[in-house]
Amino acid sequence: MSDQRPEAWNRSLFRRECGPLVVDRPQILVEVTQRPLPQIGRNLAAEYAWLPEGFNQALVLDAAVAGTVALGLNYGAYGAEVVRGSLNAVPAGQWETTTALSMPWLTKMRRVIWPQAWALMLPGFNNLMVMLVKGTAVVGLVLLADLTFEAEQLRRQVGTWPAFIGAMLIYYVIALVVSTIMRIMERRAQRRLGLGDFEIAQARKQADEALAGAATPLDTGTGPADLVPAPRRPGGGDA
Amino acid sequence: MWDTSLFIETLPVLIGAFLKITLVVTVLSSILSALLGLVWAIALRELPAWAAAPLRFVLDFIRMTPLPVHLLVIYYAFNNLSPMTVGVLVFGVHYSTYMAESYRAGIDSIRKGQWEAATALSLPASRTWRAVILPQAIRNTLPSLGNWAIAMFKDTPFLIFISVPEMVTEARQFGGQHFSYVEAMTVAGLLFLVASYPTAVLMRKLEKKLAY
Repeated sequence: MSDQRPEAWNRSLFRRECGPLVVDRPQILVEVTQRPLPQIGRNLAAEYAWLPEGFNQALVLDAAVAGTVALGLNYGAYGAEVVRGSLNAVPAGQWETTTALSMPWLTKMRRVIWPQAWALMLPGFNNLMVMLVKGTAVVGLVLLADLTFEAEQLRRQVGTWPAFIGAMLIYYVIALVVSTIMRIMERRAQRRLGLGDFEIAQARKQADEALAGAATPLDTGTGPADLVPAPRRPGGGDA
Repeated sequence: MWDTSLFIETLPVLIGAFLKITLVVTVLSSILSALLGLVWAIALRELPAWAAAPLRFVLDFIRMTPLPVHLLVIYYAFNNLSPMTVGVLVFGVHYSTYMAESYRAGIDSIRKGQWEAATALSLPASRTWRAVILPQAIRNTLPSLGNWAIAMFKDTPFLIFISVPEMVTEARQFGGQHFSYVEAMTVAGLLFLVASYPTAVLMRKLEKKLAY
């Protein structure tokens, strides 16, 4: 589960911070891991194909590794877009100021950009985590005894509806807990930036807009509700 | 490791499965979920609070629980339905809950003045929706509906859970029979890429075109 963030962070920073020569390649990586191969295909690929035989054996033996790697890669690719979008959403003035002060890259990231971007990317991560919780349902296919797998076993003893409704409730509760924690983290991140309630509302609105711009059209693919791009308002002037 | 003759052999098998199952399910479920999603979005807005609240909970519940579980429960609970029907229904309903959110966002983006003008002209509710709100809202919503359709397309391998002979299942079987998974899986992956990438690019274009 937790491997989604570091990977996302590496890839998108790579994409943002490296010169034009490299910039395109991670994009291809992101596009490829994200889209065309669906999860199960990727699970199976991690299980059987891809690698030379030696590695192949090593991976085949451990279904947990296959499942974790496949899910990590998949959601990491989505995470990369969230991180990239959030970094881009940090106002240009902040980036320019750090340059004007000739801050070293690490300081700039650690003290100025990241804290702001972090607050913006948490809603996106929140959605991804919920997706990920649901996404784990596929690992039964590489014979990991996950919740769905067990529910299917249990079905013969307790009946179809009780078994699966129980499973769904567990998924639902896990997702609720995860997203509550993420929301608390988001609030903390914003408080730390010195944002009051009004500013938080503003920042959230801006983040939504920025993310919507960054996350269109493909990334919202399986993105849940909040990532759905806010449609542009007609005209521009509001009533 | 790579065997071209196997690659050629697997191609028609997988393309057949792709056309017969994957594409059919995607198209039918997309239509179903686009319609249902619209119904949910309008219902959530028009229903009185006591009726909207449980509906909202049900939609949230469906959205926050995994698709494979839905497939399994409907498959086992209604075993008089064919697996294909179950697939289309479950995909349609599951994705309609996502699409409902897209519609909601689209409807919310309609300026207040439009509603007020409709009231001022004393248009009946049905006409307000049909002639004023929806034409504008759907224009905003269409690209995101397309994204959901692509997402659904990528989720079709979940049909493996209810033993529909869908493309990835076929690829897996083919690999099992010939003791080599690389070719079949590559073809399956390529077919997904070939189908979804152009669609995604088209959606991007469509979105640019539709944006005001």
